[in-house]
Amino acid sequence: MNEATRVRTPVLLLCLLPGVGYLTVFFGVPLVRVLVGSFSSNKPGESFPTLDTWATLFATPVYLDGLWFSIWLGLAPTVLSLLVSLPLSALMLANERSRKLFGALYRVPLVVPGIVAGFLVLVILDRGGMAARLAAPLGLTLPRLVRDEWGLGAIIASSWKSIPFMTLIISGAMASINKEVLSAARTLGAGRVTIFWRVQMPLAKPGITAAVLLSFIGSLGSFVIPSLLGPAYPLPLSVSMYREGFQNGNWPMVYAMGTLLSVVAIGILLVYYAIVGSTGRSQPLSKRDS
Amino acid sequence: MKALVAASLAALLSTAAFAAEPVGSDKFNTDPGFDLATLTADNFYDVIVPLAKKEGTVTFYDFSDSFGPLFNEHLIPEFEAKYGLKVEYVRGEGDASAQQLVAARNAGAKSPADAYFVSSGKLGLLRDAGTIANVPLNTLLPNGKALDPKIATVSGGIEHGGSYVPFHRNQTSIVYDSGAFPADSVPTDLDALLAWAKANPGKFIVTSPGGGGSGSGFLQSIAFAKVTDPECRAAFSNYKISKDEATAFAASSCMNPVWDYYKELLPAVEVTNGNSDTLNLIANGGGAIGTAWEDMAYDFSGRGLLPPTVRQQLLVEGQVGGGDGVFLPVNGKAPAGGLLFIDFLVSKDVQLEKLQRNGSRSARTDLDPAATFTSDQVARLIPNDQFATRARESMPAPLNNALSAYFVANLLRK
Repeated sequence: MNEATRVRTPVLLLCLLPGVGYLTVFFGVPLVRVLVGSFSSNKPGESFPTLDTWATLFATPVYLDGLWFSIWLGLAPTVLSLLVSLPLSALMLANERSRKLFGALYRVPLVVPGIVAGFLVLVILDRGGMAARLAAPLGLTLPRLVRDEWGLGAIIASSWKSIPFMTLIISGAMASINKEVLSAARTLGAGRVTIFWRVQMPLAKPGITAAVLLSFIGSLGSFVIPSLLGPAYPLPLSVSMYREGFQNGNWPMVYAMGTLLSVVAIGILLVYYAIVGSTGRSQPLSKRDS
Repeated sequence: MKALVAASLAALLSTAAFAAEPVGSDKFNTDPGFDLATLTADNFYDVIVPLAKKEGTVTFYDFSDSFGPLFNEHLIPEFEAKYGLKVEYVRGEGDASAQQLVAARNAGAKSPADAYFVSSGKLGLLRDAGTIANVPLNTLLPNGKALDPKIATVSGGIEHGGSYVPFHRNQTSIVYDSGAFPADSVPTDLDALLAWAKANPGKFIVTSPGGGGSGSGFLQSIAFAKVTDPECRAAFSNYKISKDEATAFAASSCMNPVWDYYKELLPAVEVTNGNSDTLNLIANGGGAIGTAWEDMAYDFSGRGLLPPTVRQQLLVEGQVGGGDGVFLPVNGKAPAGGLLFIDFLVSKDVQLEKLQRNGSRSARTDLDPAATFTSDQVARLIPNDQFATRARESMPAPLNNALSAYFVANLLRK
């Protein structure tokens, strides 16, 4: 180790300390606490560590249904939001007028808290709500969208919240694409749809995957919206966590459910890195091509 | 001389009979800084009022959604004016404030509250966490003797020996919109209700037993009506029943008639996640009949959140009720003030005022609601004759929890 390296290492560690320290204290320690807590038991006299709580979690159909429902409530709004956000982002780039129009409108849900979004959907789409009253004179009966077994109301509210967020990220990613690339594609005879699918989408992929990831994780752990709009059964794990903790005082189960939800989110994160990694590897090639 | 000795003995015995004795233990689990063992209902004000005045401030925690204005605008100012004490009023979400109390107890810190109004659903959790002073308030407080002895010692199916004072009584009911169908066609028993629900799909709104007390109350009411075997029914009043025994009972053949009833009912009803969710659907016209709490429906009607045509009834088989109460937390900062405030809350004037303003029933046996209520208020309540004959006490809490859990896991889970 030469003199320069000897001097650089402590300085480097010092520079990293705020960031690493912050992550350790505010992220690492609570996460470890949750993980450790999941190996304790709610039953008096039970020794530590024990797999008792985890065994109960995986042996209870109500909780397993809750896990799948959580994943569904994370996945469905993400897909729905993506379907809206992708063309919206592309349209916003198409011309100045649409950018200004959508730019003003799509930000509105961004500043509305999730609970407000939940209540909006409840007031509008619940049985006897505003939509049902408007449809009634026309002889129309709306399908059940609140408390339905597929969680449609919750999916609509989560999507309503996610779309501007996703659009913000994806449109940013698309805006960063060199316009000469798009012009080149156009001069080579590519239509608007072809350019969207074969040029904009691949080049904006890192932004799209980041938006998908953040939206999924946000919806996966959502508590307020499924509480207000979801069915009586199944309950997503986030809602079960609240009930286990505050109503039953079963904190080991809360920790186990929290760990499980985090594992699901981390799994998605790994998939994200795999996608971004492969995109990153292909990046020099596309740059060379352009 | 003999007469003097006899009189002295009688006085001593009388004092001993009324002196506070610890509940479920040979010693008190709290140290208020004065001798609880010599405190009686007779010397209560002489001992407690000066001590409370020295403490100066009472911190009162309230979990409820609907009593805020009553406490803030009426009861607390009245207490402060009467005793010259200051009340620090803390309104909080019940689950979170219960955990705050437990956390303080676990940390060995002073309790953040001197008097604590909490749902009976939290009673078991708080008692097991050792946060409730084991003081028999029903015999210690001067106003305690007016309380129904059974209600004063058992709440939400939990025997607490008087350490939890029933401030508020509530009753599950069936609400219906009298504007939606003629009064004589309102189903009045469980079988008629089932038939009506089948004929009007989606119009009977049932609160999930896992999501609200009116739902678990309805489940209990069906169990009381449909389980007829005396051996099975013994479980309904077994306050020593363990969690495991209750879980086994829920899955036993004893409960088959109840689950069979639900299996017929559920396809025809809408199940909601909470009591107010049910009432909101009735208010929107999404439903015409629903399970409810009497005081909540009374409050919603009074505030115009339910149509004026909404009425309440008890099914002829009977429906269960319960209540919420106040307790003295272990190691509060102002225990004398806490005791004085709890006594005030169950005084006759306060209970009458609460009854009139919130439709909240009382555990006092010396109140006559009919003489106090206006005709509009009476119309918003369960008819008095039904309340007198059809109100039932809740089952033991472990059994209620087990039945609700079984319902969610086996009936709601298709």
